[in-house]
Amino acid sequence: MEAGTKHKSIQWGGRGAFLLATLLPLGAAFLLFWIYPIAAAAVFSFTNWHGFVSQTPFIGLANYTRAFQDPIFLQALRNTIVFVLITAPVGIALGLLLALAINRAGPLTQLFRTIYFVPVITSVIATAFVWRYMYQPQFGVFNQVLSLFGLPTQRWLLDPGQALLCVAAFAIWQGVGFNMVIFLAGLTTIDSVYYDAARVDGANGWQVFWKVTLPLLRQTMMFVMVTTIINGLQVFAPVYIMSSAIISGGESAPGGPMNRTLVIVVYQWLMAFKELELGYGAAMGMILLVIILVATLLQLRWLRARWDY
Amino acid sequence: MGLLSMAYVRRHWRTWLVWLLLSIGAVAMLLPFYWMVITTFKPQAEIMRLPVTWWPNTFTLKHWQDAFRVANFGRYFLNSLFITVAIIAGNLLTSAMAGYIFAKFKFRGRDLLFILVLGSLMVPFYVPLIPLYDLMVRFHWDNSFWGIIIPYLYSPMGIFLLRQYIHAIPNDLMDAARMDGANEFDIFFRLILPLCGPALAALAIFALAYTWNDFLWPFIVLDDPKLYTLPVGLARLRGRFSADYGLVMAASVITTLPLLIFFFFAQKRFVEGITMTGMKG
Amino acid sequence: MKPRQRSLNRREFLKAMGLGGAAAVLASCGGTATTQAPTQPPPPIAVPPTAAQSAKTLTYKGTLDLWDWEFPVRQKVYQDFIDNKWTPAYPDIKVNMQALPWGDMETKILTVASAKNGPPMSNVFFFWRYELERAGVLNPFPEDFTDWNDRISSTFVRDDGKIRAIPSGWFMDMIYYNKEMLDKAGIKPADIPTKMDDFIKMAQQFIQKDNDGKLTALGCIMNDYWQHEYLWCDLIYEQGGWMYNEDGTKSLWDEEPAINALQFIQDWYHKYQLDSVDFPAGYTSFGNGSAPFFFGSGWNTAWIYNDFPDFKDKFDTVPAPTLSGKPTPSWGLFCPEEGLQVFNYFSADMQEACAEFVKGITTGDSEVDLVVGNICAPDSRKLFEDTRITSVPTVKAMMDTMPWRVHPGERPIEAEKLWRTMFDSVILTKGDAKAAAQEAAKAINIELPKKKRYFTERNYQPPTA
Repeated sequence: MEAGTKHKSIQWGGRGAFLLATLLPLGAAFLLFWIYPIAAAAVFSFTNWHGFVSQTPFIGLANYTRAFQDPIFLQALRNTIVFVLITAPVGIALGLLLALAINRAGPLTQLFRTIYFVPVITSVIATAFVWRYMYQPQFGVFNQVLSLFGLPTQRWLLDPGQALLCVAAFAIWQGVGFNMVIFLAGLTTIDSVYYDAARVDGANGWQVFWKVTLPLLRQTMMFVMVTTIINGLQVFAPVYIMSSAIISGGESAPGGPMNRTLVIVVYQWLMAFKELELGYGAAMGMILLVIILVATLLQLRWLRARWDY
Repeated sequence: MGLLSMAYVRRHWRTWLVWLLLSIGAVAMLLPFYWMVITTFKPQAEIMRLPVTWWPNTFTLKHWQDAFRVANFGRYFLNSLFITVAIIAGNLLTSAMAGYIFAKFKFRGRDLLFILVLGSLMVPFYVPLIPLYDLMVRFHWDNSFWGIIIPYLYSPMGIFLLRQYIHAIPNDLMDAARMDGANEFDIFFRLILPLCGPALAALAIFALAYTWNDFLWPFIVLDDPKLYTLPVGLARLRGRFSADYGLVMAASVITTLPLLIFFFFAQKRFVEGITMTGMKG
Repeated sequence: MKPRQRSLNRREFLKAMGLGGAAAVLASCGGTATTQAPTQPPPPIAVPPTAAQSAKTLTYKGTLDLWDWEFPVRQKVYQDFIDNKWTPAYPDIKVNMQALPWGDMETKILTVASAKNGPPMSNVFFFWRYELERAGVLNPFPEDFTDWNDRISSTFVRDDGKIRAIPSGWFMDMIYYNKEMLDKAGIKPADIPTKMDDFIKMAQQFIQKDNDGKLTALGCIMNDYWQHEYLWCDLIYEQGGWMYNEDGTKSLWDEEPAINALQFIQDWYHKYQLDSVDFPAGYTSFGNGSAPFFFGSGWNTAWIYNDFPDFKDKFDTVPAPTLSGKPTPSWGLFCPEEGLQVFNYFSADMQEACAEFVKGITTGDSEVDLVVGNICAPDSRKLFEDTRITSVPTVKAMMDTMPWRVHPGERPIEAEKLWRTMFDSVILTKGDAKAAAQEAAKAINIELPKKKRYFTERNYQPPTA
């Protein structure tokens, strides 16, 4: 046997060499680009790092208490949660529905699957621009269609009440294809044996869905739910593009009318890069991380409880 | 042919209904893209006029000319291309190597490291954003392609995917090669890598889609407009050009079209890739 | 794609720091000004004649990056200066100008400066200047840079005894009017009232509504965050109020003058109905003929020319009306285009080259080009009578009001988001002005004492009649 099978010998060509060649850069990259920044972010959240100052005075939980007393952060928190509460259920339900429908589309399955997936692989920046343009109150398509039917035109992105819904509508349009594809894949793994058995038992379509399809999609559903909610909580690009006020010549910071489209990641980015509140920004990131972790854990527990059989 | 057409005619009414509903939805999916493209050919005056025109009254190529000449989107395209290819190449190599050692090698801390790598998938990007930028500055990788490529060289998703795939490769193959005196690097490059074709393809496509459309990190890292990638260059039109809708739409088409074309040709692999990466998560 | 400036190696760096430090020390020894009585200019220092363009020898060779936010007319002036004056004199020093969208400039300039990165020189707006000043990354200008006594800005921008700003000019708000629309209504520009109440009545005659009571033609357009901010500040000063207390530790945004000002803005939309959020914002509705009047700051002129080239000779401006009809106690706000700054963490020869560039473009003959190109009022008093400037359309209305304008000094970067919310709540949701004002004041009062502030509003002295 070769010497290399005994230990991690570092002779050229040996297992050890290959191991080292792989692990060293991997370890270094991992430490540098993941471990260090995440730990640093956690540490910064307890400091008053203001960019220029080389020392970062420790201020304990001050950033966190500041966040919960900051009306704009609280608004961002509210907006983010509302955004998820809208986009997640709708996106998941629509994704599932589409998957079920497309699964039955026979020869047209491929075509429809492609079409519904197109918004997913196109740059969000680009499509958000198009939607922003379509939402334009004076000459956008949406108002044009409304007035065709004699309905009153809306302010869309410029209206405090509607703005977040508008962004959410875009996000749903953009993301539903992804959910659909995952569900489709999940559906194809369900052995027809189950369906046959159910039909033998005399179940109708609806019962087949609830008692056979859905439970067998448990893994898929878990994945879709978790990713949709996590993505919703971290949304940035659509808000950034769609809620900058459309002001001639100049341009405003994204946040929308009455800060109604401001989401946590956007506010964090603004505070960090515009006001150099890097400690505060890090704290907001940590808060959001906790929210994501809690939400994910709750979902996993709930799903597990529901479908354990 | 006759049999097929009979089957076609006798389709259940439910199928027709499904097709109808799906078609309506499909229109909703594609309408914004139609709008994007059609706007690029309308002159500014027509864009801002009511009632809105669904087909250009006057055709103009001005916005396209502007996109390349004034707004420099040809350069952004090349930048995006360079970065994407570099990252894909890096991802494929590093994921295969790492996947291989996680699947087939035994070493201390292997499982812990693997779990950590997976765990990094769960951490949202904005958490390490600021310290990572700070790090880039210290290495002088900010405002350069390195700042974008190097942090993305490793892909936890890719490592996971390749590990799962390589795991299924029987050890006998490798043992036999070792018996024949091949060194580990030979085994990897000549034996393992070619066997990973489908997984590599799926990973490449996933990396392509992610990198081409990536916005936030390049936006923060890049200051010099000559280095902008397409999404960053596009976002830059928010300012003075934001009222020049024709230009913005032309730039949007340039940003989305390449990936779309690639997608149409590589559809099957694409979806396979998404599901492969998705299902295991 | 190698980035332009690389970091210096340690020895070079220390040398540069030493040189830079020495330069800074020398510069600060130059002036003997106080911060207390800005109406007492420092003793005059002999200024070398600036007419002769004898090129100073510079040792730097390479590229200098110059940042600015998008403002096409000013970029044109800079580029002309680079092409016609700078490059012939210094062919080895290439100046590379980059214009970023305002929103990007906001989020990048402080970040790159704090990382000791980015451009060696940049146009810096006064929102950001104070942060940079506090961080110590801006070089003060030497006392012999220009004739500071001749500059209006020296009254307001001498912080801690040193001057760190050299505005390329000043903008102030005015009333833009559409010549044709006024003609048709039989109004001559001289008839435009100087008292706010009368102006409102005049503007209201242009209002048209549809059957549902929605405006189809406006009286006077603003519908723009910046104009709201300027008008609000204007009204506070016109009532004799201030925005901050004497030592700059507390805001007065919830005091009566500020609340009245906020209420006025709400009334502009909902009581007088001069304006509507349903119309395109700012100058756009003026340029496309939806409104006969536009209340806006002077920088809008260049944007109107940019977006509505055919409208160019069809409008002009008059000074904005005041609450009392008189220019006192104040006509409102000065808004400086801050001008170029040099950052002090680059090599000494680079800084030297940048300083020379800044001097070249903001003083001497080029200063006129800059002011004329920007379509603004000049900073140098000696240019007040210069016909090249006074003949530029819309500039005269700004210059006529200059003596009565207040410069607030620092505008805290924390303020903008609070003001946006404040204006949104009274305009979009018709909220209570007092409550909105108090909420904004409460939030800023937490932030104000955290840093040393440079408010100069109390330096204002109304001109004696």
